[in-house]
Amino acid sequence: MLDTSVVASVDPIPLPAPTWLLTFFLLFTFVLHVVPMSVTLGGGFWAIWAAGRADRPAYRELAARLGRWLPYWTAAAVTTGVAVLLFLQVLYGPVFYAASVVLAWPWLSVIGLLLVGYYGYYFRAYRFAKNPTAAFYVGVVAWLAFALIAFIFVNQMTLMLHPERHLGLYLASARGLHTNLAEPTLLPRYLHMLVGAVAVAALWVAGLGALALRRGESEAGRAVLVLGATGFISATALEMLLGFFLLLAQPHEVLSVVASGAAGPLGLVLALALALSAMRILLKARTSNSPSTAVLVGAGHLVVVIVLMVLIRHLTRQATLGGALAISAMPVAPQWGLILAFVVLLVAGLATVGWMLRALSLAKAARPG
Amino acid sequence: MNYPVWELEMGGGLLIALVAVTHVFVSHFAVGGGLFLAVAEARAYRRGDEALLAWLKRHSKFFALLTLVFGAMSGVGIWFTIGLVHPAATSALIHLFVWGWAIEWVFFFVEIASSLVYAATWERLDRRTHLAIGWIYFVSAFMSLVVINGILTFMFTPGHWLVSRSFLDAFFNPTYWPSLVVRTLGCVAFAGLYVLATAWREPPEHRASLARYAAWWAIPATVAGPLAALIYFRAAPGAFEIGGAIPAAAHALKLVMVAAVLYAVLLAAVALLARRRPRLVSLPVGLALLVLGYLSIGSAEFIRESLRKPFVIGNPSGGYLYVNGLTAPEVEATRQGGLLARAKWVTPPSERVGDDRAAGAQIFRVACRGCHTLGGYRAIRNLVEGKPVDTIATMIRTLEKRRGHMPPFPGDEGEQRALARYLASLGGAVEVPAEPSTGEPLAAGKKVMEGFCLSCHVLDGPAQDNPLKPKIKGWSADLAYDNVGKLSKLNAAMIDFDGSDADRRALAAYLSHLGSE
Repeated sequence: MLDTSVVASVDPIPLPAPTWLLTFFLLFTFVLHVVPMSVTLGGGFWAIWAAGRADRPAYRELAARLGRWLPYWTAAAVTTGVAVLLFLQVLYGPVFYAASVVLAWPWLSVIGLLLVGYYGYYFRAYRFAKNPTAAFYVGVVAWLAFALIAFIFVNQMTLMLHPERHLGLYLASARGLHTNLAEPTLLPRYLHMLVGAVAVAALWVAGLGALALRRGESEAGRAVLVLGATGFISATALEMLLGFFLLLAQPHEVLSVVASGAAGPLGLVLALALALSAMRILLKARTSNSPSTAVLVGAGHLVVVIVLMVLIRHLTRQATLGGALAISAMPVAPQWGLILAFVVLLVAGLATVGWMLRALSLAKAARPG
Repeated sequence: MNYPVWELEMGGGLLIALVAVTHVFVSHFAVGGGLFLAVAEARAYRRGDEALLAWLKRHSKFFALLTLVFGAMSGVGIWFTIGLVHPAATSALIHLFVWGWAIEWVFFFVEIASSLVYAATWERLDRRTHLAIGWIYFVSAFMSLVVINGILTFMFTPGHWLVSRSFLDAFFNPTYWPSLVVRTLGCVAFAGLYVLATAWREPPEHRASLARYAAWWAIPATVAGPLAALIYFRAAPGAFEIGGAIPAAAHALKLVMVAAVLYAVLLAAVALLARRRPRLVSLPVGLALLVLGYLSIGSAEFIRESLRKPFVIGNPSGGYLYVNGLTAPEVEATRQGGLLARAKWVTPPSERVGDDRAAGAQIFRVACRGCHTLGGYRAIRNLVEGKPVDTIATMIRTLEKRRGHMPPFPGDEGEQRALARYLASLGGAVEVPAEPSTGEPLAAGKKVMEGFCLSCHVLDGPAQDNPLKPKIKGWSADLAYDNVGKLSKLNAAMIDFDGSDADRRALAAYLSHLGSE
């Protein structure tokens, strides 16, 4: 492999906003994306798990309920993911596009896999009652498609941080059939993300159990709550272990840069403390008579943990890229009028969606029974 | 040059076309179908038409499954594809339009949310609220088109932005409004088309009324479409030179005309005969309408794409970025200082081995691979097969002056030669070593003729191959000398001779000799 670092020149058209604002939107939309993405991936896992034990009515009902909602979570994951890719490309284009050409076919296959996963989840949702066996197997295929998408994303997101590998791989073959399997952080990073998704979705399962308990379904509700809480605690514990391995897999220079400031170590300690606290809360919720509050508080903890992990991920990305891409030196010509229009429309859009959800909620409350 | 070029033997342009046309076919339905659902739902309430209402419930589920999943995913697919095939252009668009895309994303987000709620809440919401959500869906979907249209048309007609670099000039470019009208009509027509294509699933007694109602949507927009397209073409420079850039575009124009006429006839037949013969509204007719609609829009999009050449952002009258990902100043720089010296994604000079054909292969990848393949789509082999190196070198030297709206070759003289040698090796032709000069003027003239004239002509053959011999029949040496000096005046499509006076005399002598055979 050539020991030559090649990075495309920065685009001569200036950035349409200050880099801090674009970075804020990149991280903000990524936080928005991580939640539905995790529920889509992890929820598929729990739906398969529950469907595999459908001889127990509580799990059969859980499998059906999870399956009904998975297409909606997928829609949210895709919609928010588009925004992340937009801000990622504008800031990291020189390394992002080069890495994607090197991985062209795997990267492009994401679209086909998305179609398989998305339609698979819809099939599962519509056919679960009529043909549970077909729905189960299609659900497995759909989940595998999403798990593969995640793997391809980890390949792309790690390769773009290593421009010193791009030219060697490209000159070996320009047909876009490479992967980034040689990356030492690849496997721990992928597993960290996968198990994290299972943990997030387990909290959703626990929430469904808590809601069932509120409806008076004591036996089924308790079973689902215990499943979700136990799943969350186990997956989070495993997640911590994988996080440790992920840290160890980082190059020394990256670790030393991340550890040199206050933000990295502080964020990591805080995230660990919050995750442990969430585990404790969910442990107690298993036997609580009104677990809804506990699950909500646990979810609140988790959201803060996700924000912290996204920030640490960003620090690691910056440290890994080093001076290869000087984002702060990119030319900037802010389009403030458009930025304002975007913010106003975003608020209006969120208000419109809020109005629709409120109308749904009112209609549900007004329904007899 | 700045980004690696993906070696895709099926051709990057073809891949983009397949993904984009499929997306356009569904996304226009996503907009027009939204309007159809809201208007038809209001009509069903007003008339108490329970059959229409029941059908709308089923149709909205099909609509959501097609547009939400396939429409949205194929839209993301275009983005992935252009990022792989034209990373420099994608980067330029994203830098200029990131807030436009962000605004479009807000509409997309509302569109997705309202579509999900609309399809799932027929029984759960009161009619007024449900209808309001239908309208929210349509408005957000249409606004999404309003924004994307600005970016799409900018790629074709960047207009005053080339000078001002203003976002508003880029967005409201010369073809923005005509394109918006054409696309809006397309959306309305496709709303009717999809209903006609799926109405066969209904009981025969409902098909006729459904088909006639759908025809009211499809036919006026289909008739108005070509008129709006004419206005669009008038705003588009070079639009009437269809086929000048890519010969296949001329075939596409014929295809779009034939498909559009057949489509309109079939639509009218279904609308007129559905009442008497409801079984005409059938699966084969539905499929035929879909195929004809797809061919119409696919060919139209292909033509629009071809008109941008030699630019990926721009058109023959001016542009920002050539199809090979280089700007005009970058081409100037590479012509002066060499392409390989500036290209990033080539073997470093210290590691280069082999003759200049190896360099030619790298030049081909950087300068030509964006559009051409070796033996697949727009195969370069077909263009150079059997041609001597001199002929190919002339073709390369005069790229921007030739038919096909090619960008100027972005390399120095040595690189022209290296590329010519590489391309000649593809077609099996070998470079003939330079013959020692015998002082024979005819031999020198023959060499000039092969290098210059045969870059466009064949020596002899059928008229469609543009043979040289019949054109020079009876020429004297003086006439040939005179004509060689004014080639572009003889025929505007011809390239002026750029050799020395001695070469011109030698060529004239040889042409005169050939013309007397």
